[in-house]
Amino acid sequence: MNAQAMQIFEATNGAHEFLTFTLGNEEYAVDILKVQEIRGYDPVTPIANTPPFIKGVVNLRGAIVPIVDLRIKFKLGNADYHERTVVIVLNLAGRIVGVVVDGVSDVVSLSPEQIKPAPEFSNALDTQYLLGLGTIENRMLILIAIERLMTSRDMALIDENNVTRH
Amino acid sequence: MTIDLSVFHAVFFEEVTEHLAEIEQLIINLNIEAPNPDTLNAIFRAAHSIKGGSGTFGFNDMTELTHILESVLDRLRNSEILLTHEMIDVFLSAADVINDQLNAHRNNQIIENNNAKAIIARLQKFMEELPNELLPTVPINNTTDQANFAYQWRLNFVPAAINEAAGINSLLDEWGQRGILNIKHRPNPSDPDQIWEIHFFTNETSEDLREDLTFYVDSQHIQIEQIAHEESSIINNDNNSFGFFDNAPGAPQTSLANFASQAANTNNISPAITKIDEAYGFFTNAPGAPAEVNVKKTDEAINQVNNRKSEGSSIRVSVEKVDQIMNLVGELVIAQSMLAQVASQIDPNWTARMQAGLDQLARNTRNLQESVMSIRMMPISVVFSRFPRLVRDLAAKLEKRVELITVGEGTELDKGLTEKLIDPLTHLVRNSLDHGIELPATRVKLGKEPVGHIIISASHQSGNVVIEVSDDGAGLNRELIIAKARERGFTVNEGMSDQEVWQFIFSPGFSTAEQVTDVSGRGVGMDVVRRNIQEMGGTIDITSMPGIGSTFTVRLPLTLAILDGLSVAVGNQIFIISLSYIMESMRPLAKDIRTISSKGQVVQVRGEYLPVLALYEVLGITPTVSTPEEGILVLLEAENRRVALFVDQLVGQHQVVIKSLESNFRRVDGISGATIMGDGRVALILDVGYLVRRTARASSSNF
Repeated sequence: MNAQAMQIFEATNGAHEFLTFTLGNEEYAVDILKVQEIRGYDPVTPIANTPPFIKGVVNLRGAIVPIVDLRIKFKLGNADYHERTVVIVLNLAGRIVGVVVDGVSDVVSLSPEQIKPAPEFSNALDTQYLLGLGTIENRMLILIAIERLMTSRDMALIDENNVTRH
Repeated sequence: MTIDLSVFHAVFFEEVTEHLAEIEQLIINLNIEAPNPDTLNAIFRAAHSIKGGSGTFGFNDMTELTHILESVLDRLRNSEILLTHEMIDVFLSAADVINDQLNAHRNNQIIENNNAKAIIARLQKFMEELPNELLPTVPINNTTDQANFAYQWRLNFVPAAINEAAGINSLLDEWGQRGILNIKHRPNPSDPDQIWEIHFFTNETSEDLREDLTFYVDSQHIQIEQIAHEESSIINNDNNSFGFFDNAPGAPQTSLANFASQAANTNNISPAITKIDEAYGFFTNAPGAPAEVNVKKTDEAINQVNNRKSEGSSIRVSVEKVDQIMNLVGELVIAQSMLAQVASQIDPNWTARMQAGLDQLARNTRNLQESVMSIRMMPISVVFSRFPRLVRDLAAKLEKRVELITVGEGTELDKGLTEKLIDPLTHLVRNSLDHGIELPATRVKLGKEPVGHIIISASHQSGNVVIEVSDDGAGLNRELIIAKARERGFTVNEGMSDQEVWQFIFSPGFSTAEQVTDVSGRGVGMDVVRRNIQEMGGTIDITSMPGIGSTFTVRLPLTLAILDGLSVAVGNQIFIISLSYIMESMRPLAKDIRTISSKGQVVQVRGEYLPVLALYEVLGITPTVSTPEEGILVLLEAENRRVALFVDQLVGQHQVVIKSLESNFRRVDGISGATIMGDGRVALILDVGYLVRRTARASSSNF
């Protein structure tokens, strides 16, 4: 478990809840407190000169919200869109962003000892964006440091001069 | 129990800021000769409140300064001492220092403020001044004496040659025997740009005075006029004074009526005074008003009454909360229009009652939206109130004499706009003062009143806010501007309309000032003014007549949150272009489209070649049409550049609510914002400034 993961557990005193979702055959999880809502995929308004994983923007009750397809970003699963395509709306430090995933599974509670550090290896997802690997029964959850990932330069979601330096 | 006072600091700071603004405004409007006791009381009260508050919170530096300020004001309102120009200067500086101290406390810094010490010393001096009775006779005590004379004249004349100075002095001595002579300004004989200003209470007629003076002064350079007072509905000048003012109380005051009558006399229908009529009518309709003299003051007095009325029934709300309500109402409007759209597709028989309900919903929603918008509206007086001080300081610096008149201060516009308006308007006012208004001596030589006028007016016109900055100065110099434009390599010809010529002054780096001053002349400014105004979705126009004056007219949308836009389609996407940038839209003929070095395309529009910018290329979209003659060219102008934007087709004209793209995303080149269309989808608003800059860059890199 790394420093970021510790922070999350410190705040909640023991077990902490995560929302799990699938990308292809892999199971991922994010801190439930970062999730604002889950909704279906609405048609987006594309924006010129942005990377392919930024699908565009949608109107979320009056706010203009960017939509990121993590399946394209991590090259997992098929990036097709139908009525069961799911968008997880995240609220990260006051900024709202929607991420497209293959499907949302459930909410699980993990205690600190269930989280193991992620091994260093070449991966689509840089280990600096991982909180660790969570084990629950025979499932392995990849815990994403979602705030760090979404504010990174890779995601091109915020202006260069606001990007968190690592 | 201890109370943590610091929680009240924010409220106190806010209050002090308001009191300071009030003090500054009141001081600026004080009439030196006859200060209104109510105004003095109001200043005293404001200073007293600051003192009380700062004492409670232990801000001793502020207490110390306001205490002495208050003491001087107390003597003033008890008529123990007389108001002087110097005092006004010191009061204003004191207000500045208090503001500095306030900011220091706000940031929790304790600074040793030497200015404060200097101001306290100067204020202390006033405390030691002799009481009123011992001072020589001054106008305010002379009211009864003045009433014994038939006329009050204001005389302005250019100083006589030095060898005649003695003659003037002896003449003035002689006049002193024949009435009450009040020398307002005695020029320095070595400086030909200064002029005499004298107020004379006498039984002599203006002809007699003029005759006396012509021994020493060229008669063309003499101006004699009746000083108007009371409600001043009677316009008097040299030829038609009938002694109306036999028992006129009060002291001499400058009058707008004089300005109006003068303009009328010289048959100048000046653009600068178009607003006067209206203002003047207002003025005469207020018979109960005290002997306030110019429109500005009457207007303000009424504003103050209004303010007082509304004070009790207003609450402070944070801007965030209001914005939140605005957003929700915006959503409601969209939801309502979606419902209406769905309902229109259902069988009408079945939905008659529902339709009625929906209509009602539509009406209520619209009303709700309007009233929520109005919460953000603020009177433009928040912007205008900065100008009296600015004009006063700048006029003193430039040795010009200027009267500032503000009209329509109650006009409301969006809070966001008022903040953004300050810079461009300040620039226009400075510009008028520096380039427009002539030096007093020049003005008298030209037969104008030595005091120049700057009028700032605001009004609502068909859903827009119109703000005008006018002066009765020299006007723009067509020949000079054309010469400069040619020098800078613009295409000019003598046949250009004035409107086209005036547009040159908005070019970056353009200045006709012969010498660079620290006020203006560097040529930065007007281009920035225009860019700022365009960014607010507004436009700026100029009218000007040589020798009579100039008027700068700024037109703005009522609110920043709404934009008048044209929607255009490219491929399957819709984009919005602000109407303020659009000159026209057209479908070109194939023969009007040419290529340059087989790359860049240009279109010929009435003899001018404009670069063609294909929106689908900029945004990487697959268009439905690929040649301009099958689509539409929208001619855009921004930052003095013109381009023809090639789009597939025009969709319609809308008022759209502007949403920020950056609050959840980042800046995108070419896009200035987003909006939500009636069907709930997002449409992007094009950044026209970026598009024209891009075209300019592309064309310069091609060569």
